[in-house]
Amino acid sequence: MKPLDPRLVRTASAVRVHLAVSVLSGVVITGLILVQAWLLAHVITGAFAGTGFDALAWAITAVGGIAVARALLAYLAEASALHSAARTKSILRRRLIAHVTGTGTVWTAERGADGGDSPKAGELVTLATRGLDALDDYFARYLPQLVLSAIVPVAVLVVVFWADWISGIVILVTVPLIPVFMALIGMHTQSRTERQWRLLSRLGGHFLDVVEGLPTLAVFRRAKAQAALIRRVGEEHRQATMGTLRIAFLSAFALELLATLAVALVAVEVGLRLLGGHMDYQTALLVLILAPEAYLPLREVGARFHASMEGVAAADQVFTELERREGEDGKDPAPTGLRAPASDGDLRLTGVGVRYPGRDLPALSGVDLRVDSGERVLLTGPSGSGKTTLLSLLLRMNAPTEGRIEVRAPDGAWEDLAAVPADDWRLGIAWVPQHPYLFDVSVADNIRLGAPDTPLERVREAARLAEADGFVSALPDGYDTRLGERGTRLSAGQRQRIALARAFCRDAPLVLLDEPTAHLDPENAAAVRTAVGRLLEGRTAIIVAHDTGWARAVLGARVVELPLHGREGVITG
Amino acid sequence: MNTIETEHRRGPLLRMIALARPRTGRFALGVLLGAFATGSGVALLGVAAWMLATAASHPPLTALGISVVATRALGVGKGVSRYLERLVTHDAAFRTLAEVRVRVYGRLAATEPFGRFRSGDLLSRVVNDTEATLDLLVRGLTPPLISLVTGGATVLVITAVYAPGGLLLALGLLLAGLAVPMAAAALGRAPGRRQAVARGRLSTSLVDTLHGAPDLIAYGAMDRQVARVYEADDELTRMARRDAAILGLGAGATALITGATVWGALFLGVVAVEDGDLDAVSLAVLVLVTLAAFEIVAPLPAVAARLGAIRESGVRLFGVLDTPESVAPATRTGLDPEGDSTVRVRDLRVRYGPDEPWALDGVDLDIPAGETIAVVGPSGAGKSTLASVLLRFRDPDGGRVEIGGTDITEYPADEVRAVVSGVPQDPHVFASTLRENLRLARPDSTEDDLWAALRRARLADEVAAMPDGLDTRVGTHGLGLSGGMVQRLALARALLAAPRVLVLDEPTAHLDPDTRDAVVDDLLSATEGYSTLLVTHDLTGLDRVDRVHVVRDGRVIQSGTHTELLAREGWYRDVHPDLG
Repeated sequence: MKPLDPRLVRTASAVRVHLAVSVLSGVVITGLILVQAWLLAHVITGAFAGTGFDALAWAITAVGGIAVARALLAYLAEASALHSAARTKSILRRRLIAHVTGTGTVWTAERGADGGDSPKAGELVTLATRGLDALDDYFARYLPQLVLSAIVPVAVLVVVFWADWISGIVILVTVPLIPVFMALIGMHTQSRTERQWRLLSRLGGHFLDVVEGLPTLAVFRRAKAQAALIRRVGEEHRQATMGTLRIAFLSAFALELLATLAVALVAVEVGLRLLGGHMDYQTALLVLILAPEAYLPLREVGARFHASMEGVAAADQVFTELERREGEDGKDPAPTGLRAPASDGDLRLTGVGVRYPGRDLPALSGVDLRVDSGERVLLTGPSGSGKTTLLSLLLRMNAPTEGRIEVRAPDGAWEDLAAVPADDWRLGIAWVPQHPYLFDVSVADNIRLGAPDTPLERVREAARLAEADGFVSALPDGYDTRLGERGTRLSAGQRQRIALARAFCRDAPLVLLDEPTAHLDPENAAAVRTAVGRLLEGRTAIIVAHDTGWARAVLGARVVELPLHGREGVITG
Repeated sequence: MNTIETEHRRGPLLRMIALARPRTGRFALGVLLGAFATGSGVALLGVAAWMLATAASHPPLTALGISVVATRALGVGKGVSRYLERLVTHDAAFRTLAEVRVRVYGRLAATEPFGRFRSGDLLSRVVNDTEATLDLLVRGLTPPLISLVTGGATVLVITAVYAPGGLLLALGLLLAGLAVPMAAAALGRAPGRRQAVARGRLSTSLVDTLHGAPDLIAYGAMDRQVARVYEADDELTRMARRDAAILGLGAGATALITGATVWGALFLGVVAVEDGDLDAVSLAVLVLVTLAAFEIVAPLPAVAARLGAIRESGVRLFGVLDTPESVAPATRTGLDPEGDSTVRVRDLRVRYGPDEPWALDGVDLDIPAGETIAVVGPSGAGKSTLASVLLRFRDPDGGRVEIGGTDITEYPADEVRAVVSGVPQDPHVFASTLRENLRLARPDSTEDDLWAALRRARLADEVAAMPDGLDTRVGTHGLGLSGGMVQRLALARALLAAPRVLVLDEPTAHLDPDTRDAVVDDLLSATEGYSTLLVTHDLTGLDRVDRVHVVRDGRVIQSGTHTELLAREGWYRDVHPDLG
């Protein structure tokens, strides 16, 4: 992983600002370090030689001034780093969100339908929040040190060479040795540590696995026996970890050893020449004070590398996501903002199929189906026959990879569905999915999701029709109650009824229902069935459901059975 | 009792540290090694300063002898002892972690994790909290102790050289190592909380956007939702930029104290040399040691910033460790696993806390030997609580549960589970092979036993078709198995255990409707001959059970066969999908 990702610099102006500030403050800090070292050497030597306090007062005052200046600089650098980090995170976050919601990614992020290499929605959320927060450390702790580690050793070297070239050579030889040794050790141990980390993560996962399975273990009277196993795995985990750490700590060891040993060598070598009269005290002191400074930034960078790389890794994931499937959209005609007239009319599928990239079997194939205005169709078929995929085609979440979907306005001609702007087409659809999603806004706003300007009276009416008014009115703030993340305040049956109210509020001519009662307890299922009966009055409907007899008998739906993998559409009833 | 109470009064950090008590020796060794490492760095500069100052007056070479050797030794010693320190403390911390894991597991096993930690998120948080012990010991406890030892030693040495200088250094180190980190952590708390709230809002709106994407797209609301995310992002960014001005203060203060202390040492030293209170050789030692000494406290701000989070983990960890056991100890042993297995439940009452409503409020039912009984009802009716009592996950708060005429609460939980077993809610598939997942129920089962159980659960063909058969690895959380297969595997496992009474708690939850019917069908065939209690919210297939009890609000409101209940006025008929 690169310490400084060029994409990061290109993307975020805040990064460039931060780099400029870091370089500038790095140069000033380096200057202050050099001046302070000279002043200290000067004052100590002066006092040694018997110079009085008054003659040294200016230099002592200057040391105080440097202290204040360095403190100010440290404050400003840290504050500006956090400032830049906040801006960079915002820039990356917005680009990520715009990208994910702007392309088809968002649909597949939820379903993982494209084979699973794109991150799941939960991972994206973590990446956009906690993941990117790791950039704080990278900006405030790592980058400034990286800049310093490039400037300080060079400046120190120049000054030391000017003061005493022999010490200069000692530092010149040892400083580059540090990165070289660390790289050598790193290369030698990388494959070995990677192998061990894999083992470690497997051992580490064991505890969670066992704890999660406690009820199962208890039922089979294995809970007590597992305690011994946990102890054993814990011991194995420790041994494996220590094996890894013994190697992982080696690079820090090399760094520390070289840095301290070099300072010791310089000190001894300077001391001996001072003793022999080949060097003066002030120069010797200057070299001794400066020598550790040449290694300090390198040590700091090394110590902060791993923690800071989390931020770089998060940024890297953002860029990977941004580069995935760019420019996949754009074929869709521009929406007019008006409901497509065809949603009031007839619908025809000819040889329609869907094949997801990288999958052997089609999700749907060879479906022929005609739905006339006002008709009700019940789609059934075994698991995996593509019922939900068919609905997603009608919702325009997916496009068919074979065959044609055509629509016809009440007094118009057949036209390809793809020629109708997707947003206009969806304005004519009310969709009630298997697991409707409720948002962390008020109940009223959840119900008017598809028609934001609906007055509260109409919202209540929709809720009444959906058998939801009763429990909504019983909530602490009625229709103004916020539902919390994922609407967890409500039961599955209540959520389903809110989704139905949404459909009533949308008041669309075409209704798509996906297993509306599948996961409900009997009481809620009964209420939902009542509401669905009302919703379908005077509307065209396609219902994916398990044939309970209800849809056929009560709704008077025509039954269409999709065979497995949809080889051919069998139409019955 | 007394010791437990004092334990509870102590802070969670101290209690976490106390968990490491068996490893005190190792940690002490680690601290000594660390102190030697840090001290070497400081001493190196001090000895070198003394050597230069001495050499400046050109004494004979022998005067420098010891300091030359010491300098070189310190140069090597620092790296070596730092390396050893890290190994020793990590080793001790991992040993402690392994013990804490066993303790946490033991507590969870004895405290019905089923009520409070049902969600996987909460469980993984408990696991992370357990691992916070490691963080505390390695990064929270050892560095301050090392700083304390090294700082104290350095101050002592400097005090011996020049007492006011020692005092000044002590003051500087205390300020930079204790006052500033604590003040910075305190100062950072309010921004941390503010930003956590804003981050939570951003994260919620993002979760809404991504998980609710299909609904947003279908209802044309995506643009409005994205605008809300941007709003939340703006708020968080504005806040973070404003707070940067506060959060930088710590770094500035540390630099100021370091610089001021060096300046003070220089000032005092020069004055003292002029007044003859300090010799000129010692001046160099005083100033250079002061300059180097702040390395001792450099790790402490990070420690202070971290302790808050570790403390919160500790609070949650001891929340788990302090939970009382959910099942009272047994009063007798020797429940006959071959005896009469008729289950009688009489006036059973359970509630989850003294102020909670009754989850079960006087339930009576029988499971006669060999019959299949279904308990149905809306979610939250108390059905699963009944299963928990039968599986001995918790004690009744009133009434009796008898097997063959004796009260099950008198026997150890595991004796009861030899008779009553089955499939708990959300059965777990362990990250191991199918074979191991099955053998769990009966470690001595033969290959034939395993296949027989799989056949009865209608899973044998699918397993036989897998490339590794029974040795197929089912990954973490049993990934790679469909919901239906997980339920069938759990059923096969329960059949393998062959208890007299099978309890199946919501075996079709989370299954899609197609799979659900097939699983119910196979399940009822497989359990023929067992006494079976089927707890479900799903009314399909109930024509095949012997008796159905409808539970609502903790009471049995209807009982009878499927046909009787359908013929009768009431809940069952009202909600049955075939008639709705």
